[in-house]
Amino acid sequence: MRRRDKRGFTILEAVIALAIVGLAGVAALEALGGELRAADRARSVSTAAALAQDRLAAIAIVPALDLSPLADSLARGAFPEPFADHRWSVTVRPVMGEADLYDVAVSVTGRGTDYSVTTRLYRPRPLGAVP
Amino acid sequence: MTLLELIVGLTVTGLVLTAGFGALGVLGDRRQAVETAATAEARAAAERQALVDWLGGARLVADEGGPEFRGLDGVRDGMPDDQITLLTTALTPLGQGDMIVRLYVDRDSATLERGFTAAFAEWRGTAVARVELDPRVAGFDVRYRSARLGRQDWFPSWVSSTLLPAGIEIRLLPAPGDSLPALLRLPILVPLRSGS
Repeated sequence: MRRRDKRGFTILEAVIALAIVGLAGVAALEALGGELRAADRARSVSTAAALAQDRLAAIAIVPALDLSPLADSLARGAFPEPFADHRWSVTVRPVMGEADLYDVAVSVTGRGTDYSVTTRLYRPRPLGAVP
Repeated sequence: MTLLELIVGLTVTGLVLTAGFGALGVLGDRRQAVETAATAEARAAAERQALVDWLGGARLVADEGGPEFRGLDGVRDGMPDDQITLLTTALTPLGQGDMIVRLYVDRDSATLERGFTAAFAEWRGTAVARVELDPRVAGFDVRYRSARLGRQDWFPSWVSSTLLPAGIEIRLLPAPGDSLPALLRLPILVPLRSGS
């Protein structure tokens, strides 16, 4: 029967052990980094959602007669400080066959986030206005 | 294992542990910063949404003897010091129903609240409540959008028992040397459903 060497670890065993410990460490760090990236992304999306709501509010107070076509200053632009690195674009289209109903799409981009929201807006024209 | 192997092994292990703990430390600091920023941002977003809900739910019931919409323009110590009082149907800390909401900057040292404050009172009841929204706010500036006086324009104040503005824009300003979360520095625009 072959006798087992009792002198200690071989270099191969040590390398394998270190590799396993290293892999576990890298995996743990990667998991922690992933969690941070997810939290950061959630924050960016939350900000973009608030900015998109702000643009929807801006469209909601525009008189019905000015909704289509929409003025360039309302159709696209950049947010003021502290969100100067975010840009928005808005499209407003009358819904076919439905008077006074508009499809509104708002897109906000910035800090690696692209957030879009769409809704329908009912804005009756003033009495006597030409459609 | 020779002495040389032991020293090399200990050195490599030490280097790996140092790098690992360094990385963990950096990630821990970053995690704390991200959590702090996320909490502040979430709180600011909730505050914005609450203001949008309260103001967006404004209504007038002059025929039932309800309170008028009162948006007053003011300046104090060089800072805008506006106030809004309105009747809202939105959910408030007092619950659902017709509630009178007053938004203002509280500078009274006799009260518990500081800074931007919301006071609530039941219209057809006696319950009242006050909520400190943000103690860092020192200035509250509001303007009102309407086309009632010809072309659509912004007005610095609005008091009426029969007409609501089409929209309200709020700006919150911090005290000198202080700062507000980014989402509160951005003006808050609120369309009023029954405004014009």
